[in-house]
Amino acid sequence: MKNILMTGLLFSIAPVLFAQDFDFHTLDKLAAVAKSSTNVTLSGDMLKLAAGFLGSDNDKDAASIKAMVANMKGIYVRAYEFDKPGQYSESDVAPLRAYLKQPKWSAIMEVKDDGEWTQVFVLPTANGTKLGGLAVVSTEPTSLTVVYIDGSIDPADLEKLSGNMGIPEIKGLDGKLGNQKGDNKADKKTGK
Amino acid sequence: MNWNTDEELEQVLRGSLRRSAAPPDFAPKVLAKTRQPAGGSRMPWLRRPFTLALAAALMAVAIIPAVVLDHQRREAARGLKAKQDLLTALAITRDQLQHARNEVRKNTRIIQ
Repeated sequence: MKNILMTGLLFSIAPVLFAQDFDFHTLDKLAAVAKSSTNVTLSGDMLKLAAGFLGSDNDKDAASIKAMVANMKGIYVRAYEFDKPGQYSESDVAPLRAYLKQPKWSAIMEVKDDGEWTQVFVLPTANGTKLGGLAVVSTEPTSLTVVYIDGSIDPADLEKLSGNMGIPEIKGLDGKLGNQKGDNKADKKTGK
Repeated sequence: MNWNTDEELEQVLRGSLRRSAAPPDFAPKVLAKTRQPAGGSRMPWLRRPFTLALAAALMAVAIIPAVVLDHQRREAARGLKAKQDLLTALAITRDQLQHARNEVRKNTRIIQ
């Protein structure tokens, strides 16, 4: 009886423990010193509510986005732009990097270049057909972005996510168009 | 009117002021009137159950749609905000993945 109770207790607190592992508390304080910040926390019912409103303004590819987020449990984003380097430290990101170093996570892309460090992680599942999560940690001297998608993701959705997929362009935190970030850097390099 | 004598006048007065008995239900009627509240007798229809029910129904008809509309308006605002957050989150994710992929491709080209 005692064992059953203990097992039940473990199962009930497991999601809480998991959520605590990937928590953004070390980052949330940065909003106070950042020039601009984006904080998105969509979990459970809010994610369903958001998906329900897709298509309400004739959103392009609403059906595709709806299908993609249907099996997601949550989407969490923290993005900060700073006036000058040194306004955040690597220790702010270290707990997240340590969490993502666990064997259950696989790093699929890593870019270290000119003060920039971007890592993309996926959480493989037992059946291998779907992913259990996606995380992106990107740091530059004056910017910091962390994305965590919790829930089932089809690998094909990663392809879709890296395309345009009807997701509207958003102004980057530094005022540039967000998705031109990579291209701008590439152009800069080519021009040298 | 002319009275011939004082006796005649007295007789007429006595006849007019003769004591007469009150009707048998006079006292209960007076007592019942004194027991009624001040406003009760003015608009008795206001105290009828049907009137009260009608007033409650009219009030409900006036209030419920406003409450429902307000709730729907709040839900719509919450939903649109959540949708905007979702699109922002997906756009940032897309940008990060595109950026990482571009960098990997660029570095691969440099290595080649």
